[in-house]
Amino acid sequence: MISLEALTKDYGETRAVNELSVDVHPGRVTGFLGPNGAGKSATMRMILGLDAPTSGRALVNGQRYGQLTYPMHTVGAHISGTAGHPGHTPRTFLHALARSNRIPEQRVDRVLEESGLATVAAKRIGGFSLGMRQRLGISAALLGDPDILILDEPMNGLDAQGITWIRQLMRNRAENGGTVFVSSHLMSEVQQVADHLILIGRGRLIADATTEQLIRDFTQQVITVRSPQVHALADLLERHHAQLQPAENNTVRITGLVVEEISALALSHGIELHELSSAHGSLEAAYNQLTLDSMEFAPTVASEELNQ
Amino acid sequence: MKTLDVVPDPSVSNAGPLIAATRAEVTKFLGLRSLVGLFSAGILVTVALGWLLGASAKASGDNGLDTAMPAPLLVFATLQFGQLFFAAAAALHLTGECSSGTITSTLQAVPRRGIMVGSKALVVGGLGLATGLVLVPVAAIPTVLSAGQYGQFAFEDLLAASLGAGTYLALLNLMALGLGLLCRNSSGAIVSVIVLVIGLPQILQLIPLDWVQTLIQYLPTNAATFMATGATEPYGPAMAFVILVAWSVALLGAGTVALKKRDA
Repeated sequence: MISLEALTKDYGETRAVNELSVDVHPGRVTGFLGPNGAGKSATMRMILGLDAPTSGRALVNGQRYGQLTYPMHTVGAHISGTAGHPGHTPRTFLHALARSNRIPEQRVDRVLEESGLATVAAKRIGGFSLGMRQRLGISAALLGDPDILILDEPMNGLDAQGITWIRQLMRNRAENGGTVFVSSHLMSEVQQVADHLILIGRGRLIADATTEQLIRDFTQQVITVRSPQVHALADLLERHHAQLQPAENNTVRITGLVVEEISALALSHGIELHELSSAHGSLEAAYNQLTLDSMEFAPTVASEELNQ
Repeated sequence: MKTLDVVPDPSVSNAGPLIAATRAEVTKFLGLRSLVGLFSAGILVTVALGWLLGASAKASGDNGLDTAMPAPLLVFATLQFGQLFFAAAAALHLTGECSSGTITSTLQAVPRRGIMVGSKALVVGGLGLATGLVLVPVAAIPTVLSAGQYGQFAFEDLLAASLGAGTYLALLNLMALGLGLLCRNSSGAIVSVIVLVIGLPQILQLIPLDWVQTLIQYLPTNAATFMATGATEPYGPAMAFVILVAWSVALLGAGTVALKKRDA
């Protein structure tokens, strides 16, 4: 369990994280989404005690990270692009970490196997690709077999195999009761694996809901109507504040009204319909909309709208 | 900005985490060719320079110049140069982690800043002590061979020079670690080390003010010389030791405070 309590971080004049209060629960994968610069990394760094909050606090299992004696047994974390000195080998890097937290040395071989780095365990990290360095950082996070896993953009630089591995890993840990908190700026990366999503924009909370609920609540229904009297129908719907997007073959796409309303309006005005169908927009479209809002307007406006 | 509020739990002893973190730091130091290489280079340079100084003392002596000096003290004099290798390794042990970003992993594993600095200090300080204690007797052999009768020494000379070198290199490495923590950048840290041990004594010499000339006597390199040679003027070895400790406490302390105040 990770608890953020009015967590705030200023870097000079810029407020990177703004009164963020949210809990990350065990037993599920929680995606942490936001565009670049939304404050995801700053939040994760404060959870890990790397950066000090300007105000508020971040707790892991009710404690500050700095209060943990051998933290790697409780929290395993990987901040993108920070794993290992270029002159070290993965084995040296992991051995040193294991020793610092009194983790049995067998765990080193175990995580090297698991992350697919066993064959390069004696090579210097300096020659590694971004993907291999990510694997190394993730293996370091797993070293202490922690309850809580915090991963900052873990898919960056990973190949398809690597992405499958990290997704399975996150699922397994969540199913075994672990807390998994994974950040990404791409909805598509986490949408398949996350049970729960926390969205932030400009350091503020935009949404905190299950992935399913987010799809339901925040995606607009797009309704497609085909009618021989498409022009009359369009005039009618516009008077009822629908947004219209004309298409070919007497078809129009409508947002802002639901299927039942359109059907009732058409019937009461004697308009013949040849097609009436609705589809959900993708979560990615919804996410783009949300983050767009948070960039266009003051963050307060976006969050108030969503809290209604 | 608020400082990192890392309050140690009083029920947990710091000794266990410090020992564990120190073992990790030893692993990391010995796992880096660059650091082991710098140390080895420092040792080779000291042995070679000792031999050279010995040969030079003999040549001068044979020509009637009185240059006789106990061989261990000749070795100690060469540390004026060799010290840079050890201090650079001590600074790089920290700043190498800053530039590669892996300091993040270190602080995740050892979040209490005091313990993190303590573990690194034990490693670079311990290595400095061991190097000084072993290097002076070892390098004294080729030195006395090349110097002949001009390098003759008593056991007390060997003891004073070895203890002096060990203590000085240990404390100098702590100063270098402190400068590393303040700079968090390899080139900055190495330049500061060079300024401290070579630049400052030379630059200050050019300033013809009495108090500046007095100040020079209290710089680490001069204090080290007074400690190892058993000088009595301007102060003795005990005072020299206190001055060196004060330098390392000040620099390492400032570095630790900076680490606690700044974000990692």
